[in-house]
Amino acid sequence: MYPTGMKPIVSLIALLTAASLTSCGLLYTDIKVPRGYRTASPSEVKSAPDDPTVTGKACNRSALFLFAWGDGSYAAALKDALGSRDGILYDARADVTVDAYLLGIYAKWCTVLSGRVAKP
Amino acid sequence: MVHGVERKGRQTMTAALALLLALAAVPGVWARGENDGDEASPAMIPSGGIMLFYQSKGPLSFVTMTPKDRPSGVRELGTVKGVSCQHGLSIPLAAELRATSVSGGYGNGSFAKAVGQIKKDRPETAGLYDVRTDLRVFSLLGIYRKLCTEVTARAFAAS
Repeated sequence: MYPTGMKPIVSLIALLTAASLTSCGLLYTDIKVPRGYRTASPSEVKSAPDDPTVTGKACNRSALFLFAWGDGSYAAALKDALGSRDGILYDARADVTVDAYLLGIYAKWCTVLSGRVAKP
Repeated sequence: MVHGVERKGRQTMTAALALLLALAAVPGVWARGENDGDEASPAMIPSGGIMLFYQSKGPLSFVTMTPKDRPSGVRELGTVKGVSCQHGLSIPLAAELRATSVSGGYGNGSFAKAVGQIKKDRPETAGLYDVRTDLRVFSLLGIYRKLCTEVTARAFAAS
């Protein structure tokens, strides 16, 4: 199926595909990924009509399929969303955005958290 | 002709196997957390090749409290954080891409240990709410791996 000498290339392509699919670097990886966040509904907090709507973003990045770094955790996204406020996020939406360039040689994978902030 | 078909099939299988091995080699980083439903996915340190030793604990499910579940009259402790980790080693037996490796995993990356760490740091903690759970994935050359469970929450103490 593959000419002689192609097998290592096919294996390498398989590894790179796996690396890009999982946002991992083959040589070095230090990333944080979201796992779970049971957010509150409006009836579960002291919500008010004038509660501000906020958005926070936290990202992991990878380059050359070899290195991956960043903090795309819920904790970081919430910290970014709240800023200096002390509050509880409710009516929350969590999304993922992926930006990949040049066949995934550079990729950015972000957790975007938005919602309204109630007083604790 | 028959041999040609067999060889082609074998090579396709080899390529598919290489992809599967590659996928198994890198730590799983998909956000597959727990919900209010009855499905849960564990997050265990991956181990491939010839596994010599594996003794690990990982997070499975943690249905946490929301602010409404917090008892009344309690004292706020602010934001707290607990971390627990699993470690893994995977040593290739030859210097090639598809070399077999010997591997092992150990550690306690459970929710129980992460929450236990919070209670150790803040002994007055009576409960947690508004809990965020994240995974930290660390890998060096695919040889050493660390998978940590990070629990960040607001804590309260009995008044």
